[in-house]
Amino acid sequence: MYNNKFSSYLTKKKKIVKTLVDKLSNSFEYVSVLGTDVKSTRIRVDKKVTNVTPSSISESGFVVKVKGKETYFEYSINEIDEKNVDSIVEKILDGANKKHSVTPVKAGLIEDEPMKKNFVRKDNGRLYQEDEIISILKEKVLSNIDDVAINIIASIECNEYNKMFISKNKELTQYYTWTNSQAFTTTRRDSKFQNGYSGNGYARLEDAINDLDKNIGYSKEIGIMLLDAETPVPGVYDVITAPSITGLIVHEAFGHGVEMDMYVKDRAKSKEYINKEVASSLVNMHDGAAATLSSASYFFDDDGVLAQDTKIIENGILRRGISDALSAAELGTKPTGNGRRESYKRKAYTRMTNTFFEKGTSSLDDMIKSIKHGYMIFDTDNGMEDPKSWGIQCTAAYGKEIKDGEFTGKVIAPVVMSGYVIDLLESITAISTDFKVIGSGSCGKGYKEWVRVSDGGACLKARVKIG
Amino acid sequence: MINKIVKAIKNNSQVSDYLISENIETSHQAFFVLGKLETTRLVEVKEYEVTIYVRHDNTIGTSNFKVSHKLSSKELENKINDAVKAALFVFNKDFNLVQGDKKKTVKDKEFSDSFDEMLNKINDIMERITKPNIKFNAVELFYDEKTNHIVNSRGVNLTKTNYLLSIESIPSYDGENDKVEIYKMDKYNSLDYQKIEEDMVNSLNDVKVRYEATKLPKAQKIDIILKEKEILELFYEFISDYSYNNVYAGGTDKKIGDMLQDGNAETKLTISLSPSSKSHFFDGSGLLLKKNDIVEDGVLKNYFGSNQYGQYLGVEPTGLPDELVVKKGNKSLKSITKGRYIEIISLSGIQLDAHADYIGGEVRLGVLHDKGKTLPLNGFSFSGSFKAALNNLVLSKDTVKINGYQGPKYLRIKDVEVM
Repeated sequence: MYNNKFSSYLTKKKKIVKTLVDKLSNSFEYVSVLGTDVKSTRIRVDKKVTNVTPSSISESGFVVKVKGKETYFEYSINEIDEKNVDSIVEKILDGANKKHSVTPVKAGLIEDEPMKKNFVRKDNGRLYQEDEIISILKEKVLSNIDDVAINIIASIECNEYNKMFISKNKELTQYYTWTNSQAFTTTRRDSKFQNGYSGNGYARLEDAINDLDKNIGYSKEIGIMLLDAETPVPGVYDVITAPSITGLIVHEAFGHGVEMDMYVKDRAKSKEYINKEVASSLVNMHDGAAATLSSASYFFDDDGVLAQDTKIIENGILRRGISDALSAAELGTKPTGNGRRESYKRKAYTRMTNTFFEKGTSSLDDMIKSIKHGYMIFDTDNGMEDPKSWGIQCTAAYGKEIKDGEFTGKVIAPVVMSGYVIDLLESITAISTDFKVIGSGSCGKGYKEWVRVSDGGACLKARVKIG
Repeated sequence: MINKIVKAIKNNSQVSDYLISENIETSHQAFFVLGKLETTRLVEVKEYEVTIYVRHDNTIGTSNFKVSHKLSSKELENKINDAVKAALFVFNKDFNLVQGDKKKTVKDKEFSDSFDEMLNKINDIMERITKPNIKFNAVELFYDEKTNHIVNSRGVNLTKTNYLLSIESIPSYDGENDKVEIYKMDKYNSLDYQKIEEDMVNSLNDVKVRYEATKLPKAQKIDIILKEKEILELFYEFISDYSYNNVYAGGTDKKIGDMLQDGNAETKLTISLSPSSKSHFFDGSGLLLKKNDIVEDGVLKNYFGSNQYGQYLGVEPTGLPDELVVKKGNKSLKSITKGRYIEIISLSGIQLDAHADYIGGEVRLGVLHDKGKTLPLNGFSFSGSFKAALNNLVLSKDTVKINGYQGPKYLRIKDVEVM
């Protein structure tokens, strides 16, 4: 499924892109071109139908960025060649030098330190072919369908990222792969229906294939379990969060609020809390493409800034945010390698990558034993940020009731958590030694600009409003 | 390019059928930060998605690929060969592609102003209606012209061009003690500066109310009123169980003619899917779209879905029209806003799980109406039984049309838990 080498298309285009950068450099202080060639194939099998399709992240194109007289200007196109290069230059001169009646932002110049590097992360496992994946998925799906598990959708998505960033001073290329595996089971008992879901990401396709039984089995188990789930009684409870829910909290509740393009727009409450306590002293939070190996582990971001590991919260104190190159130029700070685009057709914003809480020192068993009445909460469904007011809206797939330190067998679903971020983070009294970062999800900014992210961490003991 | 692709496909004898979708997009974008212009963008792209169908072993295999830039004849041939190879691994039940009749092109009316004129006029509006402490901390404008042209091997040759202006704004209020914001995304199919100004003024008023909002005094059961965007989300989720692919997979036990609400439900729902404009007249397979009533007076009247799954179920494929139409209710504004209730102004999103009989959401701004007095509230959530909500909801006579929805402006649900 993977070529395991950098795109021949982008390699062919390197010369003309450099010509374009040279031509534009005569007129602009800052010029860069990001070229993308992302191949993403999704093989999806259910009990009756098989599909092989390019997924939504498949793309191939270029975005040219310049600093005009007043503002930054970008031009997204999917063809650059000798024939159209001069018309591209004309278009950019026209767009970038346009006078508007609107006052421009006085943005500084984006950093452009000299650098020439080629990065490659190959999939070093067995590279299954499409036909093999289809037949393995079919066998796993059909063998798990029964009277209760009435349908299973299992998919393997093979993502092959090729990006090239060329500016006046930089010449970077990167190639890496990531495989997502998802399973979705529909269960039925009499007239009651439910769904169970499992999603995981892998650096090696072979590992995704090897884990199929586990993933499909888990989605089936959850689908069956949820047939007996009850709706929660609204209230404030002691909870233990599984790593997926820790990730949901770290990402939605807090992470969006430290994206520093929000600082530029005066949209983030966290700006007032730098070097102040925002969480229990047990909490240490990271974000970065280089912070761990997961779905957002690129080598450089869409601004051509190298991947980093940013420690955002240290022992409960908020130390720093994350930023894209333009926000850093506007704030007079250093970019952190978090400039990401949904595609070459969209703007780069500050975006999270792999975001997680560090593991702690408590045993999960002891944490469960310490709960008088509460829930252990599992599996992310969705969440929404509120960076200015730090409201929480996170939905988990299900929770298991704990009474006097023991699971009672009662399951609640769905689990909608709400409240105030700082209350939740300060209520954390234990963090487990378990640790998992889950990399198969996507994240929007507001209700758009979807990028692939991972999140997770250890299990937390906290107090949360449910309902 | 389409001719080149067709020619290459025809050179491959294993291809039974094909579908080519050409997408041409021009997008003008502007990004405001604290009332100033930060970035402008222009997108000009043309892309193709090619689906190859190969009939083999009494089944049909499909595979598709994207073409984002010029390809040589050899490169195109290789892509088609790869797609044929992949399609031969797929053994789906056979179905027929949509049969074309005649070539048809429909283009929506282009906006009268250029993007630069829109940018300047919208900026003028913002300058006029904002104050130093009630303003937009961020605004993003997107003016998109999208043309979709599809052809298939069975004579389909259809083209549509749509125009859409999207405004994402973050109205913000800086008070003495705190700063607050809300999130807004408004979409316009035609250019109406008066409507844009009205929406912007309303959003500034809403954010001022959020600043004045207090915490919910106590957990309680109370009626809530939802507005058009939440009504769209709610009913779209409600009918999603009745799509052909869900029915084909056995994901619902509801049959045509089944009651979806109790017999004594306060409002019997009528919900349809319909093309929002003349140009939204076909779907991705080339099916011609028309209004399809999914629910009529609380009874499931039709399923809906694609050409492929419609044929699998042995019913007429309907495609997926882009607008949800809900029949208006019989309550006047005065009557629907009677008594004690919370008007939901800003919600992070409806949480609906029909299987778990749950409806809820985190409310960023609501207003408690009680005996002629109003109290703005924030930071609370509501939850309740979805089945109960379906049976006790009432709809307003007042209607509204927004991008993707046409129907009642207000929906009242009785006795949900707020905390």
